[in-house]
Amino acid sequence: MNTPVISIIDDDEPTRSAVAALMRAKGFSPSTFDSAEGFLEARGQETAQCIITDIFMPGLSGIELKQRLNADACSVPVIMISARFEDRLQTAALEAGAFCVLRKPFKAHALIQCVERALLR
Amino acid sequence: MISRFSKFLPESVSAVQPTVDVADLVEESVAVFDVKLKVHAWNAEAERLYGWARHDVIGGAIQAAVRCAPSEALAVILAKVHKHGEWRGEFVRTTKTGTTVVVKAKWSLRKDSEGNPIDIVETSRDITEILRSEEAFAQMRYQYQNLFQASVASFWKLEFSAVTQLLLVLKESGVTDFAQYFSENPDFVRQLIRETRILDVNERTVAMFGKREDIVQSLDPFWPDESLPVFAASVLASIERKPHFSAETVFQSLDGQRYDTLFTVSYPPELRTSARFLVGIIDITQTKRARAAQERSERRYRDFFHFLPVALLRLDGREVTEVFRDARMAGVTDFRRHLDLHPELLDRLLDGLKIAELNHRAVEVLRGISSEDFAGIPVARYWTESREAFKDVMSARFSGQKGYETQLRMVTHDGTVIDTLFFAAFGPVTGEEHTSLVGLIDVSDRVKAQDMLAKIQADIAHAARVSVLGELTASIAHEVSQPLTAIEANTEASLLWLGHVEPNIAEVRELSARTAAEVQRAAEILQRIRSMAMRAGPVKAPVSINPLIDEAVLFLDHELTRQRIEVKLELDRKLPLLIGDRVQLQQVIVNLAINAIQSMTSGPTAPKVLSIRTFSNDPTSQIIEVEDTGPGITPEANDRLFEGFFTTKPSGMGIGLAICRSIIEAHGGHIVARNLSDRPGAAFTIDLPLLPPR
Repeated sequence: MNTPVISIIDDDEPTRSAVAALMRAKGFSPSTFDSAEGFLEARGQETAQCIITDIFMPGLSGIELKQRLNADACSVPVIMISARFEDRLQTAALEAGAFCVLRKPFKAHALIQCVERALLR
Repeated sequence: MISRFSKFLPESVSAVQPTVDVADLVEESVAVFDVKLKVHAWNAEAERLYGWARHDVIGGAIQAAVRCAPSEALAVILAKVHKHGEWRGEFVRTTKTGTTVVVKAKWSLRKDSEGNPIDIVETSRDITEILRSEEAFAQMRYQYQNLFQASVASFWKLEFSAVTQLLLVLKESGVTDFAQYFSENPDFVRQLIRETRILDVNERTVAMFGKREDIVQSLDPFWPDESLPVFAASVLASIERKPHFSAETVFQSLDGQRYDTLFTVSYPPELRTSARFLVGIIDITQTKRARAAQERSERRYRDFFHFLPVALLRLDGREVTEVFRDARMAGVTDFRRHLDLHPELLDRLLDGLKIAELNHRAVEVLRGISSEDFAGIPVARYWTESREAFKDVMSARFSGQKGYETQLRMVTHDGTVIDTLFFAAFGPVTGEEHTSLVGLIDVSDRVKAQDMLAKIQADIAHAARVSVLGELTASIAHEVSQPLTAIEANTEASLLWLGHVEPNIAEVRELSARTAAEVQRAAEILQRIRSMAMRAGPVKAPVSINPLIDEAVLFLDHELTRQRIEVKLELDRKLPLLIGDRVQLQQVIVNLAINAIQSMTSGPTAPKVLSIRTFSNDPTSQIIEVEDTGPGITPEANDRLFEGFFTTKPSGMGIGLAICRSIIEAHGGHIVARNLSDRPGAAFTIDLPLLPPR
């Protein structure tokens, strides 16, 4: 059985673990990273079918990560989550090519729907 | 007595005038006393000169009869008499009637055949008059020399025969009132001046007015029009046969230099026939200038003293000079200590210093009605609260400082105590009178205002912490949203696991534990916000609500003015104190007022009125109501108004009202919100018990 690999990037450990637990409960295979740099170093984009990333993190932001992936012609869908959400930030995220953008605290169902839609692409 | 004198007068004299003591015939005063100065003989001239009769004096000490201020001590004189057999000198003596006489005296020691001293014969002569006339002479000589040296005066010898002719013609034409005629005909006066010939002048005149050959013509060029009346007056004085005339007037030199002068002319009868007069002119330009400057300076001082908006007092007191002099003679250097050791001196100074003069502002500051309330009053009553400070002031004065300033409490005329800035300028140290100028600035209000400001500032600092929370909204939201995200995800994951055919209980247990941890994290964040908004330990103390409201309005004054909001306060000033934390309670009022302001400025509301009321319905509680004229509370909002993080404002956090409620509840009170029934607007009502719950 081919369980989709979902990469979760967030510097907040409880959030990261909770999202991973949610993904596991949905039957996905989560892999977690505490930074975008760590994700790129592990070449996570080569195994992930979907990426869930926080926007504001120390080091590379979620938007910058997506821009790197775009530059490498990597088309893995990226779901962005953030506690801070001004309109400008949402626009920037969507312009960078975010598959969907969620504001923390989001409903677990909303995230699951996003992931499922991303995997169907 | 006679026999005694006879003894030491030649036998022949004694024989000729047995009934009259020969000593009484002498023009000098004669006294005979023994070496212990006990008087044995006293002649008629001595009786006349010193006023003491023989029987008053004989047998007593000479110095008892005529109090004496000799140039040398009596002991020294006696020693000289014993050594040289005689002494000559002057005594200043006081007679029986108390008048002072200066006498020239000679003491001669008489000895017996074996050379032992028998007695001393004093002959003395009154030289008081001589001295007096010598003094007068010296004074006259001094004055004469002054006069002689007064070459500072310019002298003119004038010839008036033409003038006399003109006056005779005028008189024949029927004019009787010359004074009136002169004042109505200045041209005639000018003609008189033109006809006045200058015969001679002295060097001083040349120095002042021009070359001698140019001067010795007509008086005309030297007499400006503005001085015409003086010339007219001098002619009138002559006509009226007055011996002299003098006036201040202006002269001008040939090159136009003007002089303020004292002009004098005398009309000695012997010169009248020749119509020649001597005129003296003294240049008083400098004197006048100096006088004017002095007057200006005096006026400036008066203006300064009376119209400066600072209380000024001039104090006089001979006591101060005396106390200082005594202290200096006693070798005192530390006057402060001297006053500590001699408290009676402090009272002497305080009673001796009197108000000689004070300005209007001083009357005001010292709460008097007019300056007469203070005239000649000792300063003691104003210093009862600052006796120590007064010692410092006097000590500064004693040590020769020119002035002193300090801050101290003064008791005013009506007994009120005021805080003042005190400064003193001391007059010259020499001289009998102590004069000093004292300035007072009433800073009571400022001190009060500073106290109040300090309080408000502390409160503002606290309110600022609260308002910072608003600015921190984004980061607080960020922080709180993290645990909420985790809680949501964990909970949903748990539900998913429980929904599986074979529920993964271990996973659910793990997730539940994590969820609990995140709930704890969220709670900690809230606690942090709370402790930031409310100080760590509330202070419970007696507090009056109304002043808190006054201060809160003051604190918000800028915002209220900017937003054009009218404030209506209906405060029951008789409310008793209650027990509470004043800063927290004030924070509630500020918060409610800010809410009201924001609700009235969020939309078009007019008029904008913030009303705050305090009253009491029963003796155990007080009520505060804050009302606005904003749009009011929506029904949806009403239920959740006091919940944390509930807000209707786009940028708000919803912490304000939650904190208000927790503070009020901590005080055992209640806070409720409602819409006004008769008009748009919201009202928040706080019911506070006088005593908080234990």
